[in-house]
Amino acid sequence: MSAVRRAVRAGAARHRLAGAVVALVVLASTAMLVLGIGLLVGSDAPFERSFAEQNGAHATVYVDPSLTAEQLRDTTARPGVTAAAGPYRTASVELAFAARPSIHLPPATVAGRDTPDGPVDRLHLDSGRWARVPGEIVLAREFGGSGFPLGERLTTGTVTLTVVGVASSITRTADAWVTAEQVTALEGAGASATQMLYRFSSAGDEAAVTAGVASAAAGLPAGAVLGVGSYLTIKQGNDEGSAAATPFVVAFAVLGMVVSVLIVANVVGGAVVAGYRHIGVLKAIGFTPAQVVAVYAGRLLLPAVVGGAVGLIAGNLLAVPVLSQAAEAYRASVVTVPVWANAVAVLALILVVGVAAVAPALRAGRMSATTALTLGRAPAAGRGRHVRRLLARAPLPRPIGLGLGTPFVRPARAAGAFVAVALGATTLVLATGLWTSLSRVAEGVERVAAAPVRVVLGQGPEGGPSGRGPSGRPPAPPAPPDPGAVEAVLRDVPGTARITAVRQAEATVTGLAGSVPVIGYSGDSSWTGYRLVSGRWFASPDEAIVSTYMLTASGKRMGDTFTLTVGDARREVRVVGELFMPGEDPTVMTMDTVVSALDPEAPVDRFEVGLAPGTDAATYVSTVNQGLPAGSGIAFVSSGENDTVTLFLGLIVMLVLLVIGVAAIGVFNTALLNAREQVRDIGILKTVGMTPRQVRLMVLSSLAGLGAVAGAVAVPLGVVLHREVLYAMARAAATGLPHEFVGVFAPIGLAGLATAGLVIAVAGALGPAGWAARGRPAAALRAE
Amino acid sequence: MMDVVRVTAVTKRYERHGPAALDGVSLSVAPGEAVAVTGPSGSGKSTLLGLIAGLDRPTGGQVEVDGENLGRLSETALARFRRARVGIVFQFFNLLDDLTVRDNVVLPAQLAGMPATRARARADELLQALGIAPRAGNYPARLSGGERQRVAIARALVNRPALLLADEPTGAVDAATGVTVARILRDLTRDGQTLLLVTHDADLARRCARRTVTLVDGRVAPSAEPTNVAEPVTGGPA
Repeated sequence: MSAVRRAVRAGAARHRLAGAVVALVVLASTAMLVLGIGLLVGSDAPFERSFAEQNGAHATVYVDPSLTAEQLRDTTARPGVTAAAGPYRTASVELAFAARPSIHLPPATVAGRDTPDGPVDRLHLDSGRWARVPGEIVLAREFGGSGFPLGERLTTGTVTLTVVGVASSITRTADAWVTAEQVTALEGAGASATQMLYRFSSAGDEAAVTAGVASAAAGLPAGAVLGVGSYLTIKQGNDEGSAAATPFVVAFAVLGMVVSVLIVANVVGGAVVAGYRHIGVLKAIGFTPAQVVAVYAGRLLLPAVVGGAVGLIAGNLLAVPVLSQAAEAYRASVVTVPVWANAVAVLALILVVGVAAVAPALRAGRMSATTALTLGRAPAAGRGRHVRRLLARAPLPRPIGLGLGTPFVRPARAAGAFVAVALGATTLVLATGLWTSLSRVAEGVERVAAAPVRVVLGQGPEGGPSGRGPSGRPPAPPAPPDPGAVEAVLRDVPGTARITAVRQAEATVTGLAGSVPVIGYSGDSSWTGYRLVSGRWFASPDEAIVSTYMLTASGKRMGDTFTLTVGDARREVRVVGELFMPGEDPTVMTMDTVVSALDPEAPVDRFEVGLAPGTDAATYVSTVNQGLPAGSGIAFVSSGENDTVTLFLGLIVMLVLLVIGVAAIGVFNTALLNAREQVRDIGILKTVGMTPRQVRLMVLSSLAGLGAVAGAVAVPLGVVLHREVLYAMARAAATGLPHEFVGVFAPIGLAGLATAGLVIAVAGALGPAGWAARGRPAAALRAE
Repeated sequence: MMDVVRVTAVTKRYERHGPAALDGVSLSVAPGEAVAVTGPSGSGKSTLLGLIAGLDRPTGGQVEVDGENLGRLSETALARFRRARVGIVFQFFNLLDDLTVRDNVVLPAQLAGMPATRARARADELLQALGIAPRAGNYPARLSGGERQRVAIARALVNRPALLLADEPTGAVDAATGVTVARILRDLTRDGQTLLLVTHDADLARRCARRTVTLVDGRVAPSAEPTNVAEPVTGGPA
């Protein structure tokens, strides 16, 4: 066995703790890197990736169920059709919980498919399994399936179905799937149709998709096509949602990866520096500089490879829940860690370990043996002595003074730990800010505090697991309600504080393509809780507030006038406020008299109700529903939950915990290396009477001071990052931001967050401090 | 008067089933007495000193110092005991390299909670007495071996310990400096300082101690008889 190999093996055996530390750090960092790369990759064109993976349908076509299989087979061979799936019989049904029959789910399109696979729309099974026999149902994730426990029993008509799985279709071809045999039994419970899924040779825009559908259906009888859903419609909605998620996910991923790389470099470099004395001995007995480098590179790469291998497994396991959340945030069917990401993560970290080990080993290898021995015994003379001398005279307990001076002895190591803690604390500040901002966004969108009760006329409530049916299906026509009767009921029920009736018309607006929803509110509606980016609520029929997108798309500004036209009716409104409304939706809100003037037939869609203080919303809604004339409408309490925001918040919590965890591991290892290196000094201090508690205090202080400063630095960094990420999210969501969403940091809160660095540092240093405190002085001096 | 040190049937094993570093050692030191523990390398001298200093715990037997049964003390109480009752001088000085001479000496007083001005005054007094006041602002690396050992002695004395323990205090200095160190220790004992000196140097033992105990293979050698009055120290700076 060569001398180098023997030295590597002996060193690895002798320094098992240092090896374990390196392995642990590389493990955590590899896991974080794998996850970070997975998140970054996932953020790149998530719809397109999922669409390609699933061979998604360019068009979901509903045809007359009386068409024969042969007729439909002919459509798949038409020019321009490159792939097709179906026919799948579908039924539009209303599902309810078997255990709670009073709770109805939104109308759902259930497709009969015996397999999730196929040439088009290969479904991703999130959980459970596919339906094998009648009586089983697989819910779409997009229908809110993830919220249903497997085994939940649902009913429709006389049929009872057990949820056996949750699947995702990137093009939302159905809300649920059952066996082909089962779907025929459901057809009696609702409208039925046959579904065909097509991919076309050309589907770049809506016109191409329309042409593709026309080509496919060319041989079918007139009127055979009942409805068409285009993947482009789904893509637009998905892109808006995923684009908003991308900035913060990328920010967290990058922070996590930087912290990971940093702590690996710090710990590995520290381990080599701690071995300078050993290097001096190696040189003294004849090792060349190259052999010294080989010994240390080998000694540290061994645990690094082990840590990297375990980290890969850990990272991929960790990625399952995180990327599943990310997939929902990106509205992709699945986000996975590509195989190459695993290779990149391991190779990158091994490279970092190699460089971090080789650089100081090379430096030590070139030193004289005496210098290496001297430096190995204690850091270079003079390092931080001025600071330590000042601290010795400062009116501080001596252990704290000694601890605070420690980072100045190993400034490079301290700097590495400082940056890791600062980035960890920055992540926490960012996460806290985003949490508050997104919570306010949710309130701004849902407006549950201002208008907790909504009364929808002539139909059931929105909400539930999903408010949207699959694309292409015409909604059932509502029964004509009597708004006056509903309003009378509302005014009679105790607890009603404010009511506004909402009606809507689709108008054309000069300078904008397509139609624009004009939403009219009756009376004073400034209390409804909408958030304004700027300006004020409208106060007269010639005023309006509009969404940010409407301003940017039209090139207009506050104070400009829009001309709204419906048929021959025309009204001019002046923009007095910019409405916070995520999404590329041009929207105008104004007095209901404007809507009535534009479209006298525009009905009242809903009422929004503000409650008197102390009124229980659930009781109120129950009373209203009992009093409403049959079929006139239904009152419900706005849940206040915004699915997208809830998803984002969950993801933020996961990511911030990961980044802070990695930062704390970095601190732990820095503290451990420091304590190991100072074993002689600690032994001496114990000998002259330093108590275990004082030793603990000293070790904690050595990183607490650094952590406190890092926390103070992290606050402005985090605030700036929060602002930038939030504005990036807002830009992606095509909306401006009200100041209350951005200025979320109160001075007291910031002061609290400034202690985050301290907390991370102390948490990371607790273990090593305990270790240093426990050892007996005789053992410490013997070890030295 | 109660003995300052009373070691009774002490045994120490570093490994559970390994050989005993100390095997049934008993020893007592009266107040003001200077006792040398001698013996060949590996005989257990330093182990015994470590147990008396409260740096380590015996496997069996009892160690009592200044009326305190060390076996009953927690690690924290042991630390307080060390800082208040004993001062230790090591062969290799064991000074903290990043503290100045004065700060090294002041440290045990600060840990004991002595006010800063008093601690500094006490340190300066000792440094003056030991002839190294001019080096008070220097770091240990700039001092000679003899100077370092004098700093270590000053540090050991700063809290006025009941017992001064010295472990081969001349082992890392040249012969002339060794004489100086011996004289300092001798002077201290003359002033009534109780001293337990561990050394393999019979000459140093004779010069500094009134009684010598010899350890061989972890046991008190049967031939060990108390020696008589220490010889005067000659040569070297005062």
